[in-house]
Amino acid sequence: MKGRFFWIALGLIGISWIANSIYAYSKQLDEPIFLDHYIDMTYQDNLYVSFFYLTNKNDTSVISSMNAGDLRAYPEPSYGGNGSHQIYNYQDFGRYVLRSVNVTFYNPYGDQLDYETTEMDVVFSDGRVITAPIGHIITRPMNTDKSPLEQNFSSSSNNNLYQDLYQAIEPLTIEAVGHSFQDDLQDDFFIKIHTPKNPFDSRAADLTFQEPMDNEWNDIPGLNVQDVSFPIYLNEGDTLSIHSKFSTNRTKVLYMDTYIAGTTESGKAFYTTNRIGTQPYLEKKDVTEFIKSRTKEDTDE
Amino acid sequence: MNKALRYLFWGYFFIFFRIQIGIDWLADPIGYLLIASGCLQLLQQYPQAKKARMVAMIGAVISIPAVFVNLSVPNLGMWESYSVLLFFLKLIIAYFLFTILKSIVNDYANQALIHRTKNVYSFYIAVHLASLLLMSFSMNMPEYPWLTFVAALAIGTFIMDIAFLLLLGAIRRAEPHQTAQNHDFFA
Repeated sequence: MKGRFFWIALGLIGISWIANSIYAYSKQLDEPIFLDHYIDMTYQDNLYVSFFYLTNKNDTSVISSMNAGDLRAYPEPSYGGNGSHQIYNYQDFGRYVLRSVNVTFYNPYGDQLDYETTEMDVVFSDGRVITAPIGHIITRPMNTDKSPLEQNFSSSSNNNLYQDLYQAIEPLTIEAVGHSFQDDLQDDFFIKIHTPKNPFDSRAADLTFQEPMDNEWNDIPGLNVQDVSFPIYLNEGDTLSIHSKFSTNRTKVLYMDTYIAGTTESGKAFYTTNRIGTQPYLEKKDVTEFIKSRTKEDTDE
Repeated sequence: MNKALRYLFWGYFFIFFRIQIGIDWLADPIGYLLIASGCLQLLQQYPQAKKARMVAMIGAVISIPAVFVNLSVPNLGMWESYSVLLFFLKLIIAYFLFTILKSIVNDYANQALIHRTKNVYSFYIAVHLASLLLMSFSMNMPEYPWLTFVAALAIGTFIMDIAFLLLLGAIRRAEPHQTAQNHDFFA
């Protein structure tokens, strides 16, 4: 290799370092951006939730605490071998990384706390405090009543399709089926209800159990919940199948309940819930679009 | 000559290896000073050693913080740029040392060594340049699969560093008219 080539190559590599550094610097996020989390929680024991946020790859800070009003959440301590905080990237997108933080919500006031927020103050280990839009969090009192609907079957698939099969253990009336974030998730989360007239009719049973996870949403038996005319009456032994589907919007994270609300024949109100938990999986274009939408909001303000 | 080459060997050894226990016990500045001193001894016979000596003197000053800062941990912030600067410096000093070595083996008229020096030189420079180029993009690239390539080339640079040290040793041993005082190099 001739000497001149060496110096030219070295010079070009030097320029590449400078150009890459300038580009990386210009694309840096001013502050971490949280994905949209839809969390409804009952204040029971301490509640564990994972939050996901996008930040710069070279961000060495970790989250110390998250607060909103009386809500307090602290991350599980995770220390590396040398005493420093261990940083774990959930996903890596070059300049940006998606990190997760597992926090525990502590309940300072017993279980009768109703609270709703779309923002949280996030304190980082380097002293930064940001008020971040985090999606939507709702807290509500816990319901410990025994449900008159017995869950016979529950499954979820990796394409965000869920199926739950209930059987009424006494005659009852269902007045509503839904979840806490109807407005936020109207384009992202769908529920279908199916009540075979006679649960022990083999044809109806086949309909319900035929591997619905492989089917298209449209082929799944049942009515979209907004088309259902409530109330629905169930006799003892009647089955109710509920399918739900989460769209491919990957920047939304669900940690919420679907609920069935109604009254038994004896006049007792019930509220049966079923947990839906999702984890994000972003693609590069999701990240670009999400950052663009969030930073645009900021400049519009 | 023999002494000068020994200085170059140990100089590069100090720059190349780190023994980090609190501080770097194979301190880079000592390595650069050893190389500068070796170059001084070669200066009369090989005038091109002047450039290597100059770079070594600069390196001795620039690399002082590297003794006290552990550069092998991740997320160093600004120290990452410094670490890259040291990498450039190591490559430049190696380049100048190669120009001296090429003259030395030519003087020895040892065909095998001339050939070997040329080969090690080409591979050493190519692998190091490729590694620096690839590393420059890593700040904007996803870790996977980019880091795999960078890691592969890092192994390559490690092998070439060893090859360079072995070449220095070989050239030192091949010097004609060795005196009886010389000990075995690796003893």
